[in-house]
Amino acid sequence: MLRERARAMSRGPRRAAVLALGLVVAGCASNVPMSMMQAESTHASNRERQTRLFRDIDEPTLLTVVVRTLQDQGYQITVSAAQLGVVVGTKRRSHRDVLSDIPLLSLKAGLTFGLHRHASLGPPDQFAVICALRPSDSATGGHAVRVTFYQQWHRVGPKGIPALVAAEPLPDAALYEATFRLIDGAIALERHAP
Amino acid sequence: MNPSRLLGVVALAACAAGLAACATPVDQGVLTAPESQLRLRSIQSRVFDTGDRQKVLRGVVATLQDLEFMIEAADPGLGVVTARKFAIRAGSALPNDLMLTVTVHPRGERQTVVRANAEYNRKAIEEPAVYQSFFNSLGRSLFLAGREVD
Repeated sequence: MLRERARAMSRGPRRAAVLALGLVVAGCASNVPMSMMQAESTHASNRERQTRLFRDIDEPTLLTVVVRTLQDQGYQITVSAAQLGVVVGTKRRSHRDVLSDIPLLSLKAGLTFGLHRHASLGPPDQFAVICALRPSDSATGGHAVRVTFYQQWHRVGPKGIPALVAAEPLPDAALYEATFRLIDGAIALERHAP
Repeated sequence: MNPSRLLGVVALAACAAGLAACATPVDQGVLTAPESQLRLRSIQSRVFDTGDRQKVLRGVVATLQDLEFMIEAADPGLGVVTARKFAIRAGSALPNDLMLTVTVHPRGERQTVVRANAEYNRKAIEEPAVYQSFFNSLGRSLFLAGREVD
């Protein structure tokens, strides 16, 4: 009687262990990055920071102004699709800029015992920017310009060709403010051009 | 010919034929089986009730930008946008890499079909929930709800 009860009691934890193991295995099996495909709460504030409405200017002119602004900032245009209102540019960082980031990054890596997100990647070697124009939904018209800057990391592949291995958006609000000021200035120049 | 020698030659030829049959085809993985294709197409596609292809394409770009993807290629003529996103993990040398190709094409005059196919760390994603999440975001951007393709 006692033996049966003891056996029954030992079955409970065993079942729980099997169930837990099953759940762990199921969890490991799924490596799908749901969070990478979901809109986070920060995305709305990012969108606001990265978007500016421009009125009294047609889309082709606005796109031209955006391209000119990027060129002024030393960006190479890598993708341009005027019908979609999209322009993508990249700008390599100079060796001096990359090297100047190393002391601060090393300090951060040291203070976090190597757990800083960029510790294993090193300083970013390139910036990228995506500009997308969209007709405004508001009654007053105009076009919304959304600008997103990224920092990127490359590694030289076996054939000596650098390949993109990591990238992340730059959240700095001041950067976007400065960019929109530059676009504003370029629009004013465009309007007063002979 | 000596019968035992003949037997040896036949055995050798049979072995060679067997090995040739067992050899791994070089094109393994280049094409997908038809049934798998159909299932994937179904989970990767949604129909939107608008004939404005440009609007949908711009919505795709806005959604990708919202989800922090980098646009790597865009062809409005073909209706193709390719984008990529990384997740940097602390202590890991290589971040997770998510690649997405979205195509937009008209279906009749009043509908547009959007198809997305994603790859995570160079492996095709077949989980419907991932695509559902993308189409939910796209629907919000377009103020339209996507339906599964019949």
